[in-house]
Amino acid sequence: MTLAAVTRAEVYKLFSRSSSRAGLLMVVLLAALPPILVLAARLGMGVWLGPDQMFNGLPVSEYFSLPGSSAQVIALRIRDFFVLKALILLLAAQIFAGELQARTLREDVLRPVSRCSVLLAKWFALVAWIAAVSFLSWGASAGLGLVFFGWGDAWQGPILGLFAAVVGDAGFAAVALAASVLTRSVAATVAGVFFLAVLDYGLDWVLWLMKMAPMIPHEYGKLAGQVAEAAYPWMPFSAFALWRGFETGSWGWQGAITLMGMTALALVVAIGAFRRMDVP
Amino acid sequence: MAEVPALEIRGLTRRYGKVIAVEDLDLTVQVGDIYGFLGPNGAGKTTALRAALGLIRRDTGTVRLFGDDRLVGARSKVGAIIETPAFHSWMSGRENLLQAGQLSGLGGVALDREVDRVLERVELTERAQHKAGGYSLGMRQRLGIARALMGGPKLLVLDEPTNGLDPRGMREVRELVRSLALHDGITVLISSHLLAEVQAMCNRVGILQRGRLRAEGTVAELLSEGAGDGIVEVGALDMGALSAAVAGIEGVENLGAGAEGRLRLRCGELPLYALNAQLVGQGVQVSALVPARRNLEDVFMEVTR
Repeated sequence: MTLAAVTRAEVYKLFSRSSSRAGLLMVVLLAALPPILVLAARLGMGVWLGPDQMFNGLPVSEYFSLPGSSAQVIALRIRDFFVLKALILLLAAQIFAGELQARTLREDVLRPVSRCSVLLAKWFALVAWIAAVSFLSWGASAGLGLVFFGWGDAWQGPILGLFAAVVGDAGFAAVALAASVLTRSVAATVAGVFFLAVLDYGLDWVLWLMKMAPMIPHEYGKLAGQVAEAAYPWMPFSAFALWRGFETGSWGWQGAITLMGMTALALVVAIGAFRRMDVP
Repeated sequence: MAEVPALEIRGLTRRYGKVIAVEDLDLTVQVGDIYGFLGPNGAGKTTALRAALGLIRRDTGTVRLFGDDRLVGARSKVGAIIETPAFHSWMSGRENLLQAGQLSGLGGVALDREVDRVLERVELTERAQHKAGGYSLGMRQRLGIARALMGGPKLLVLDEPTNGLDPRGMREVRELVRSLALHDGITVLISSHLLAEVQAMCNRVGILQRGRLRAEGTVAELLSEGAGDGIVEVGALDMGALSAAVAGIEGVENLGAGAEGRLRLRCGELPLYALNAQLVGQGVQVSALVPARRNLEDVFMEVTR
């Protein structure tokens, strides 16, 4: 029994869920919205002010432009908005804890397939869904921008950022899946990961404040600043924001290591807990 | 060389905290058996089946499926329904079966053929495209059996497969299970409360109580045990006179009401003709004198007393 076959089954199951389909559609529509709105603004301005209204030597309507290269950046920003993270969290909770509670997970475990494969297949399915959402939303935004306003300039950075964002969200999905296995409850998974996210956010703030500490005229102030500077790139918030570095061309390798470490740790913990678990 | 048992459990124990759900259970299901696994509620039947299939951990003991103690691989020869079968409600019956088939290593045309085969076997072909969430309990049970049949298992483990079904649904499931065993040659381990059904269907029976196996054997063996106690059921035109006469016969014990209004008696060594002669001698007009046959319910009640 190959992992590929279990993954195929799991991908089909995940993509047939109404919540995953609705989520995919929502994110793609959100990404498609900016070029459409900008086009509407340009056309509206053209009608309202007339085609001859100039500003700095250009028709005013020309200032409303979102070419493909810029639209893809907007798509990246939108996919990083909390909606996608919330959807990943919800799906991770549903595909493990939800199935455990609905007793459908039992039917998978009764098949000649190892629990390790069952769990990895669930993660791969989540990653496939994340990739589908990311590339479709990117395609919708960049494609419409391209059609409405032309190529624009830089494409490479945002495309690398898109791949990095998929990798980052795959790590987040692993953490969410581990929470789902450990808590065995949809509600507790959502609450638990939200709590971790708040901790991560709080840590970000604490380190940011510590970075300011050298302004305090005390030897500990300088030390705190050095600690914060050294720790900052290794933190989870830096790892999950790795894509920003790719987008701008200055990514931190420490974040990549943290991301890989977190992903591996989450999967190992989840598989270990699932293998010991009594499946009702 | 003796054939390897379909299922062999040795020394299985499972505790939940201080509660012992199953204790030192030994159980063997031979290939070709239709094995009835009986026990009162809370006896540990479902726990034993779950542990045997690897759904829950065992504290001690070994389980072999067709001689193999690596349960993951050995499960390719086993189909099971544990308690009420659960389905992905947003998917059709057919899609649920396709899922199970993929997890059993099937694919492509072979998978489609297998789904068609099992749907036909449980007579669900016409409703296969409907969402499983809309299925009746009987249909869900049949779809559960279809899923258990995916991949052509050699052993079918059915935990209370007729639970919650109406008489028609119970009959359909019973006939299907019997047909699977007799025509498809599948070994069946069935846990049930319906003793008459188990007696009619199974060749071997194990009775579990408080986590321990209290009795095991062929149905004929269990029914013959204790059958020589001389239990008879006597009918008379005047049942009051019969009761009074019985009280005066030495060595005969009144066990109370029997079937069809008759009186159930334990006669010990007293032959039926002698009992009849004594009753007639006391003026009782005997209308029936029937040697009582033990059924599985009698055995069950004795074992679990």
